[in-house]
Amino acid sequence: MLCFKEVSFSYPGASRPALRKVSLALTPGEFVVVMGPNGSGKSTLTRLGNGLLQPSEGEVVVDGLNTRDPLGLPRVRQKVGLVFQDPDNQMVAGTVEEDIAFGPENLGLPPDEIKQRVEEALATLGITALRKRPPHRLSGGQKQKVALAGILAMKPQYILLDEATAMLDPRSREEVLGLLNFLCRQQKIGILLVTHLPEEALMADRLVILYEGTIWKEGAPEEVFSRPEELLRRGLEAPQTVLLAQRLARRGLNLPHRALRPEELAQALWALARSGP
Amino acid sequence: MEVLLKGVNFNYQLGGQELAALKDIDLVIHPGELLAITGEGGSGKSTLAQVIAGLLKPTGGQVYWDGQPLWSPKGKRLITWQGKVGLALQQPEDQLFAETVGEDVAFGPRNLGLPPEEVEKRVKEALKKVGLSEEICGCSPFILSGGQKRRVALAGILALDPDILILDEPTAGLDPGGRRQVIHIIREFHGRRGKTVILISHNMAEVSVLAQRIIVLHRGRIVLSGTPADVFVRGGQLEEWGLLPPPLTRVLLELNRKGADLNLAAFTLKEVEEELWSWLSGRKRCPHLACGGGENSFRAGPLPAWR
Repeated sequence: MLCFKEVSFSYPGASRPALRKVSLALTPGEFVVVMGPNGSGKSTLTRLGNGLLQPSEGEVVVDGLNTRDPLGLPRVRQKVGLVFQDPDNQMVAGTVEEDIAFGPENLGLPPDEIKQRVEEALATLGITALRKRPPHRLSGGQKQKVALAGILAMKPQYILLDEATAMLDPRSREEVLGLLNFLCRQQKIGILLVTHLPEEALMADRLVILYEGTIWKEGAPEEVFSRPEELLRRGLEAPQTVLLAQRLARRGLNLPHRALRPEELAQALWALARSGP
Repeated sequence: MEVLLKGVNFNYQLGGQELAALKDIDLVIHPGELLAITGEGGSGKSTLAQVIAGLLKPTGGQVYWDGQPLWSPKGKRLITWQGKVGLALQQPEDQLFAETVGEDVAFGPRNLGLPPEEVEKRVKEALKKVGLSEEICGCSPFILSGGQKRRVALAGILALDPDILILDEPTAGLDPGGRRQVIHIIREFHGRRGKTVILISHNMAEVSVLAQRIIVLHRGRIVLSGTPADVFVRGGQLEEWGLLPPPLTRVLLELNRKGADLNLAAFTLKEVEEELWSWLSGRKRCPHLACGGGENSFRAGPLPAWR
């Protein structure tokens, strides 16, 4: 389990803390989405998660390893992968495969093992054809896949993504989200996705809303989205499909309580239409 | 200002090879129009924006500003109007460079050779237009939030007082509050007489509420030009062009795929709600619907197409 225990954090010189007594747990195989307006502490949370930042108070514990313990930090970094918004800042090598090999090489693994991990990561993300390409010449979506492959090659237990889909076009975003879902459900990796796009919260087991450095709300997406006007007051929005389902339910339609993606809502409406006389 | 593109081609040179980014583009942009250009990554959107703005010379065809050709046959720029076209590239905040916000915003108007008092006036006005207080002038742009930085960058362009504002993915990466502010800035600019806005975006939901006309680019060609409703009725074809329709349109499309006959011209929340409601009410009077608004709310529609 990746555990934030009453974590507070202040940036030097800041007038108020970026995070205040935040407690949150992520288990392997769980998909958690974190939303919140700019300045609510989302990015800080991801950076605390793998020891890139140290909490001012409280602690972050990854499978029993405290991020404060310098001896445990390399293990923490291997277990918790971090993907940022701008993939350009994460590319280090001349070719895609060298870039993916960078992490495992730093773990000091034997060459055969590194080779095998790179092959697996390329195959899982469907980018084997790009292996000899220079990363900086790829599209945004391809770059984020390379960044993810580099993390997969470390065999992580958790992946934290800080607005990693924000700059992608809708197609690439769908692809990356599909991959995250696969990694979470099939490979039992815990995913914590920070996003501004409410549609991305629909695939979450749990949705956490940060507001001014504290957790304002936490629960299943349908619970958190059940009061859209409260969200709006905090500068957030519910997904369009959820708003549509709420409006139709208010007119008497018997729709499932779950927060639905477009295809799921269409399926539910179709079932309703067919269930008639 | 009117912009006319006639038979415009643009080829990039890539490792000795020619790569066609724009093919045979004919396009008129009328003064006062709010036009959106959409298309998948690599469809030529950003190249087209730079051709319209006069930053890239087409490799074929001609660009006219207010009826005058922009390029000589030898490739010399014929019109040197400064500040007529303001172009905000993607993530314009990456281009902030000055030590203070005030200096950054003043950079453009100063380069136009305006007197200092006019520059100062323009800076004040521009900051007001983007909803930032004057007090921010002395701050370093680098201590601001992402949304504030983007607004400073937009203020720098508005301070040029352009006739045409071209914005490339202006809301990408902003939180909902930041998005609303940028949309407000666009609307406010466009609300002034004769001001043209060209919005480049792959966010179809946003494009559909803002634009009067949408152009879809696919592999360097204009494949569709019309109102938002014209675009959405194309349904599944949008996906062939690499576009992801907005979530509500996807609900309607999916139902039509199953055999419904919903009108895809409905795209706002209210319109989609009404369209679905009358479709469901029309096809049956089932108990699920009974508590809605009584018998009168049911529209006598055609019988369902499903078997």
